[in-house]
Amino acid sequence: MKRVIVRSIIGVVFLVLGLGGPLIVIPALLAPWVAVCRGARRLFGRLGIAPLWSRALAMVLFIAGLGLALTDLRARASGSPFEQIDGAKQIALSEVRVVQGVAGCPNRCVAGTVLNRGERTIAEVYLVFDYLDARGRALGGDGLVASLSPPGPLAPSARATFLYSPSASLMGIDPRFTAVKSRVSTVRFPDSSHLRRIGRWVSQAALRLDSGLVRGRSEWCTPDETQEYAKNVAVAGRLLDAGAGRYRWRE
Amino acid sequence: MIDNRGGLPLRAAQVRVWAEDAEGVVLGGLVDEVVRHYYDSQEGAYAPLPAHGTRPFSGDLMLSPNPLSKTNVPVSLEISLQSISLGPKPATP
Repeated sequence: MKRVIVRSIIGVVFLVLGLGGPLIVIPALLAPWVAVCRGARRLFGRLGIAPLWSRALAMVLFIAGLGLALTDLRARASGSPFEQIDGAKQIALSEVRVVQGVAGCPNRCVAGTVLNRGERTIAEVYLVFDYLDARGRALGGDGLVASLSPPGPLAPSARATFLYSPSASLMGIDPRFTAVKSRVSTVRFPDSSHLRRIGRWVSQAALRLDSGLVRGRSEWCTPDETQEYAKNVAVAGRLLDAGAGRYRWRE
Repeated sequence: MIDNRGGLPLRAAQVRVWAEDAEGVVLGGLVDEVVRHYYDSQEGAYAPLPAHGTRPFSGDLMLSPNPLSKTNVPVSLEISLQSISLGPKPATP
């Protein structure tokens, strides 16, 4: 009952945000303008500057602030998509292998090392894995942001390791999974925008708060829990020749 | 046959099925959802696979000649679990 009430409240909040979005955004844009005008007029008024000049200075301050904000948001340190794809060349992958029963990974995992051979710091490395059996046949694949140890960003000449559990595809408990092919698909360079950093910090804080609330009422199994449970599920079948080059499979 | 030996119902399960010749060359395969939890207006609701339950499944396998195979005759069938969905955890008192 409590969950239903909490979900209803969250639903109403989202509905209000969706419908009343413009009513929130417009005052949010106007608020800094009003604040700058009032603040500047009061300040300059106390300094004995005429109201007309105070307004003019407020406008200059506001436009300058807006310009600084826009300049900050236009900071393109993270690079264009082409730069990010090209940046993958400066990452050297080594010792990529399938490991089993190591700390932090009770089942099969992919481990490896990344080395930044370039001259720019890299914030995130996107990897692509092809899972193979002992004969080199494809079993599946994954694309992901590598969770590095020590955590990024990766400075020039810095080295970090990663350990990835392919639990979502149940590959961690597949005895056929013995080899892996890997490559770096793209990288992300650090973002020098202060405003975007503040925005990310706020959104991450909100996510942490939300996950903390969710953890208290955990309802769904995690990929690792699901993979662990999958050890209890067995599948079997046989091939039947249905004639005329047709085949069926069944229990 | 899918055999759920654990204590939770399976809402969905996907298997990967493929046929091999005597030398282990793959001649064809598919991924099939053998336990489904969605509702189909034509076929009705699919029931989850209960805990400690089993369910048979079957299907057609389209094979095609593989240039790597000397015989192109399937002799064995391999099945592996591709994914499962357990749904919500059971309520704890």
